[in-house]
Amino acid sequence: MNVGAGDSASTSPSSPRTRTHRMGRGRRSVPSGTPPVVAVLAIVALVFLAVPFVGLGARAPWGQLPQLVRSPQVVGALRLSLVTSLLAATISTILGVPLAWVLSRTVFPGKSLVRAAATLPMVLPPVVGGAALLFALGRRGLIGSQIHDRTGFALPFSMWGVVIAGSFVALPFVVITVEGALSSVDTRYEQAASTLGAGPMQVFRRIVVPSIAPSLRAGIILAWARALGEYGATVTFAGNIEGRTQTLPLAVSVALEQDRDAAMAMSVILVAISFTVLVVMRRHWWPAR
Amino acid sequence: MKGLEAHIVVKVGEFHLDVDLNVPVGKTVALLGPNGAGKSTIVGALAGLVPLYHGSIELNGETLDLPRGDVFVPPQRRKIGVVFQDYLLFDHMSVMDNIVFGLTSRKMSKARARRRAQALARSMGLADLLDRLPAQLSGGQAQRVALARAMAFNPSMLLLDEPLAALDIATRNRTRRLLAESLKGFHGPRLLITHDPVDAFILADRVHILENGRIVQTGTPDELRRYPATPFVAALAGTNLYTGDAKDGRVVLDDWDHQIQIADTALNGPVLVTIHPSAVALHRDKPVGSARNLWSGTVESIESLGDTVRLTLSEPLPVVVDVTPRAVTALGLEQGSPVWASVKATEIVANPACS
Repeated sequence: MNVGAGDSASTSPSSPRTRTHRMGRGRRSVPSGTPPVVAVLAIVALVFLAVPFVGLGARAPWGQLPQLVRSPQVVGALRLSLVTSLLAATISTILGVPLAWVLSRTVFPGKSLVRAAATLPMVLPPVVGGAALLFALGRRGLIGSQIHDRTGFALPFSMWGVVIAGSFVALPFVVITVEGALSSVDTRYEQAASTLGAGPMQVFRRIVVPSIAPSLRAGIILAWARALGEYGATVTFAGNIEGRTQTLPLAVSVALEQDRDAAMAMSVILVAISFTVLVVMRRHWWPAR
Repeated sequence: MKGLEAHIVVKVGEFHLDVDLNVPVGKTVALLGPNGAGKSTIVGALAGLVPLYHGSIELNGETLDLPRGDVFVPPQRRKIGVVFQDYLLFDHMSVMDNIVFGLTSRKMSKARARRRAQALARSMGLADLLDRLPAQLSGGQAQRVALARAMAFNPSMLLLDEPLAALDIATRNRTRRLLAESLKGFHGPRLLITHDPVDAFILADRVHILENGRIVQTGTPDELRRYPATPFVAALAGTNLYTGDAKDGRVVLDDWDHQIQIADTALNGPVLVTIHPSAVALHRDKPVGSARNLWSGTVESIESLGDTVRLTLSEPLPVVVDVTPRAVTALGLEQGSPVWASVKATEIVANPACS
């Protein structure tokens, strides 16, 4: 999961920032025999990962696809999914980068506890996360009741509920990738910038962000993909209301029981989006070899 | 008070640094010391990256750090141009963007900053490199870009941390000459941090020797050579360094009415000649032999360094000579003794150099 730590294409050869990939390349040139058991298990793993997509591809109603995709339910769910997941990725970035900075650059008591809390949503069952959000931000929740009493606004069962649920599960991805990158950055460059007259904010913008850019990009895209595929926390916290909180994954699960063709069409869309992300990010995850 | 006046006291774990520094305007002072002497801590303290524990830093009358008075000016407001070890050029920016960094970060308009950077780059021979990325520069070029970046914003002081250490010998001599020229053109105080006596003695007006966080000796290169205060200084300053002009295997020295024969006949132009103290042989009477360098002088001082005795000879060529105590006895040498000195041409190292 340590995406991009140490991957910065723009460092001088003498800089201690470049390491990992060069080592990987060196190791590749030394051939070592692959034990037959390993080869067989690797093939099994590949088949296991590929079979569901083959199944989907074989059963998908390709002929009706253009028409299914244009149905109001699918269009609405797709639009809601895109809007809420992009908002969630934005919130995750705006909040996650500063949290990563604090975790990587400051020392305070209980830091490991804070780090654990920040990554908890990654390992928590999403339904539990959604329930926790409901207890905190729901209309009768700890904070939600205050908001509702004062403004009449309630997060659950609204589009913003979807955004909050998505942000909750996506934020740790930004925190983890960016913190890893920040910890491997050579801080002497920041010192050099400060002697050249740059204040902390300028140093952050002009030196730190460019040097962690590949990891930051990876973190944002991971967060966005996570928010896009989010189901459990969303359905628990925001409900499954068509046209309001029914995102594409929720629509798929509903459609599976009513209209299998529609479910498959929407699945194809989600696979296509995920696959595009992988293609765009392949240079980052699998640097050219 | 113009220039830098600093009393730097920093504690880093067990290490205790306590140094008095005074660099007048228009002068280059070198801090010469081995690794671990506290050189980088001094850079950090002056640049504002390491706060003082005690003491004070004052630049042109402005207090930059005074723990007692609760004064601490952060690095971005110190106006000290720093050339860092390894240069630390910003890899994601072009040479131009590196040079203008110190101007745009101080809110100068991009257009004005670029014009000023272009003028500076022209004067430093960097005009053709402005569009390159740091990864596309040679070591010597990177060093000069780092210097240009540090000088572009018109700092009140220049701080050079091992500016030549990353370069190979040939590049080093050429870059040293360019650095000497650039330093001459900078009118504030200049502090050079180095572990290399050649850099210190060539580039600086005064040299402080730093050992274990203390300045153990201060002087001109000549004073340090003649009267080393510690074995480290003796070893460091023991090398005889001369500048001159080479032609056909003969070097006419700049500062002394003397010529030195060298083995390399292909070398022409300004050179830096070094003679190791143990390469010089001493004789009571004029010897007959193969040594191509032979001259008579007078013993000016004799000092025991333990296993060896260090003699300095005076005119026509001041030279430091290390011999065994037995040789001193055998030759009956004492202060004022006339003596013949010889050095084989092959024992003399000559490199193309400055001035």
